[in-house]
Amino acid sequence: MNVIIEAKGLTKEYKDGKEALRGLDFTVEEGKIFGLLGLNGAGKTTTMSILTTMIRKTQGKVIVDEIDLDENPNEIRKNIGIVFQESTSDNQLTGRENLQYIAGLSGMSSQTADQKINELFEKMGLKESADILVKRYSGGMKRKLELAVAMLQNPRIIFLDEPTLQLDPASRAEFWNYIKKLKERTGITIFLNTHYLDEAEKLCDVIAIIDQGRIIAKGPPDIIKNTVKGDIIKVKVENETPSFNKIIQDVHGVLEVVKSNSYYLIKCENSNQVAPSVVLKIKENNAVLQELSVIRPSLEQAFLEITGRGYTENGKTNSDGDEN
Amino acid sequence: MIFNEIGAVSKRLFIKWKRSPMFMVSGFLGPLLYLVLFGQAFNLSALLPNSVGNEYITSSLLGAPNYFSYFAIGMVAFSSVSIAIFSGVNPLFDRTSGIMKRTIGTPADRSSIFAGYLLFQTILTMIPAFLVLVISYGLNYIPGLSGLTISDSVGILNLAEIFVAIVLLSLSFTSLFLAFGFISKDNNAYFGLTALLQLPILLTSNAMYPQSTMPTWLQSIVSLNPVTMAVNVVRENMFGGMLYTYSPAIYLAELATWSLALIILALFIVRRSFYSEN
Repeated sequence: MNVIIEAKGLTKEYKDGKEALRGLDFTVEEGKIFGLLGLNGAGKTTTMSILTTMIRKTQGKVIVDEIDLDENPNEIRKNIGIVFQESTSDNQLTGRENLQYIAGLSGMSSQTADQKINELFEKMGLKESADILVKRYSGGMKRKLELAVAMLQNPRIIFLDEPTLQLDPASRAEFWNYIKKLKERTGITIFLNTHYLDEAEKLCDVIAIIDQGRIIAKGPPDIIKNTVKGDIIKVKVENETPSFNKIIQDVHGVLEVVKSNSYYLIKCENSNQVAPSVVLKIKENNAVLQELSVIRPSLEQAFLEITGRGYTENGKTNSDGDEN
Repeated sequence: MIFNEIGAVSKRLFIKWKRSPMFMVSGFLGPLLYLVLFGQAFNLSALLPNSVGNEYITSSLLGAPNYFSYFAIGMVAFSSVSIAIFSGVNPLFDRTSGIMKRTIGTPADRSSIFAGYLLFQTILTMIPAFLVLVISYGLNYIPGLSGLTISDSVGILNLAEIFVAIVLLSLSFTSLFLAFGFISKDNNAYFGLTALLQLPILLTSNAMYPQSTMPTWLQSIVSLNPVTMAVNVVRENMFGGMLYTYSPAIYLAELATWSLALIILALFIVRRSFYSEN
């Protein structure tokens, strides 16, 4: 597989002295969906903004589709499409007029543009709304329009920055479905910024976890998940002795025991072997077992393990507060 | 390619303007009200005793036969400036609404993007100036109202110089306020600045009063104001050029220098703003 994006020693220091990126090294292979996963403020948008020539890097080397960022940023913009986090369409224009505007800026002839615009509206299911003002579009329709804008000049790489933010679950699922089909149909390379673990897991061929401006893990979702050693047995008991934690800790194969709310989280290498021993110990100590479940390694766990911090749905740490 | 890009930006702004022309109407009504109300009521010539002959008045008003004619040309420039002041609103709103991000994310040359805004806003700025000129002349045909009285010898060349003066004046102030619009971080900063600048631009020119009646320190400032230069070109062509320090060509050259300097400065500022990290 060809490498289509390459970043070496990429750093970014903002004017206020904040170091957003601290020496990023990564490559993206052609035709893959590459996910940059991290909390808010981790450096995802900064990375994408540099790769798409929207902001300047401080140091490092970036090659996008064989073009050196330092030498020809305009040429890079000819080969990429961008879906920004927020809507960037003009609400006072119709969907068609928005696409015609971008086509004009992309140097497309009006005949080619009109043909491509009709084709995109058809594929996105926006045909009926093409001549309606964008201010009348729903959130899901606006996201589709953003994607249509990004696809207008047949890009070789498409950058998606938190594309499903603020979408309802149905629209998110529809958007993911479209992205998957798009990749299958065109073989396009997709660079996805997300803080949704499920989004990264379902869509990406390769995930890079970024934290505090550094990439701390990279690989296919399954490999990332395997960085978490072992399973977690989650039990709820009653009438346990004060030394219950220590008793379970001594069971053969148990790595760690943590009490969280009214549950004991027992980390072990192999839950199939350890769970019966745990149940036996509970009985022996005259405690009453109320619930038992086994949690297999998930991307969320992997993220927790790798970054050392918890995860919430809105992409903020549950230990550090707001990271913005 | 460049023309496509410039055309795309201008076309979008035109579509938006067509759909909400309130800005244009309100910006144009101001100078028109000045013309019809203030211009008709305020007659400096009437304040002078009868012993002062028309010759003295005409010489004080740099060839204008009456104060209204003098004032009407001032309003031509003022109407242009008062629309130019809002030139930065489009880039300002495009920046805050995310459209600018989308625009600069395209392969279009970033100078062409600025040129697209400049083209549309300059045309928008020129229209009221020409309308004021035509309307003030048309007032001659309304009984009871004063109108713009011009020299009988006004020909095509005079009109061409007037046209160029209005174009250059519009380009100067449009560039300046576009640059403010591109770099303003919020609406309040922009509107605060424009409110602060509008009157000083008008009052440090000879749009409303003859330069010779002003204090010496103010006269030097007035000479440097592009509004004065444009107004001198229009008046000299409309009323005859015997009483002016320079010929229209010299004033046009000064005005062209201002325009070029402001366009280059604005282009530099705007290109930098495309990489601003906010």
